Amino acid sequence: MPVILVSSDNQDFKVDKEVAERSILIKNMLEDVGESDSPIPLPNVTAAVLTKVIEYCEHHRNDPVQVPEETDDPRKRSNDIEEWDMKFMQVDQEMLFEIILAANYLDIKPLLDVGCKTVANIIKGKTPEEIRKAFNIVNDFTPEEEAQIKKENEWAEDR
Amino acid sequence: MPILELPDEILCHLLTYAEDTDFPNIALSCKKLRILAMDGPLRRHILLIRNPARLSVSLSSRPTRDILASQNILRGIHIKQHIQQGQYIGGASSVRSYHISCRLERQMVSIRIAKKLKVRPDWTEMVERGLIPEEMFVMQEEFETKRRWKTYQQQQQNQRLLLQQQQQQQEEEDKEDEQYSCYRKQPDLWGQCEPMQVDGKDQ
Repeated sequence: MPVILVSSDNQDFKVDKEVAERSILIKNMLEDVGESDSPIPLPNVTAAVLTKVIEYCEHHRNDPVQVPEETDDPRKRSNDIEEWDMKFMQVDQEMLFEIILAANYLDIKPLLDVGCKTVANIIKGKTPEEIRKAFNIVNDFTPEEEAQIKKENEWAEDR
Repeated sequence: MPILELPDEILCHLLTYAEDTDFPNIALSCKKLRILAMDGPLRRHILLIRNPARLSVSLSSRPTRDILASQNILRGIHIKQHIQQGQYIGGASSVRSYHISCRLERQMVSIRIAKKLKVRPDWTEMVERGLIPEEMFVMQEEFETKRRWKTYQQQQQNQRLLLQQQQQQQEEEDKEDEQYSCYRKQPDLWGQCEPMQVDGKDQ
């Protein structure tokens, strides 16, 4: 039975219940409301982002639901992203952060994790200056503060 | 949408995926990320859960108390003996007495240095004696004024010495005078009388 999702810019998306229930938010909502064909409004998600999110859920529709113990895997690694997910995440930064926000809002833990891993991978091995450049961050440290932090870091690295 | 506009809880979640080697760089990129990257529970998670291997490796290669004491990292009064005897070394009173002993040692050193500094020859003299090359002093003017000041001081001292010598001579003479004072007083009396006689002559 299909579920109708409505994006913030009033576009309707017809998806299978199985797909929509990848989102814990929607799953709980459907359970609360019971059988109903009224559309579900998602005022925090735009159509462009929702398209991406639905694409992800379609691909992962048959994944086993994660058990809480598994999600707290101690050895979280940023480099164990599936190939399909990696390709899926090849979007501009704007979209990447929108997807992360939407995944957080819709409570789609695997998608949130993939998004975060992607960002962690962008950070990996970069100098502070490169990180700033990669994310358009303004350096708000004074030169004195920066020198002080560098000194502290040196001390910590010396051991 | 810039990364910093993501809610803090998402940024925090994001940082749990960052490599621990990246953290110093993240913390240097901007203030907000620094605060998030320095978060205590996050660091605990990274050290104890995410990458416990690194911590256990560095803990197992941690030097023993003996080595720390010999490298002067672990300090205390008779610390090596105490460690060998397996005694507790971090007590409040032992720490206090160690600090006191340190202060005492510093005071002794400062006294010794002050003494040595007092008898140290002036550096103009050291230059004159050829112990320090004159070219070492970039400020030639200062050197000259100092040298002039020194010669002036020497002159003053010489004068003072002369004065002292004179005074000593004077004192010796005075002593001699005192010895012969009984003889001297009489001519004085005579001297007092004399003008009267002179006066009388004039009139």
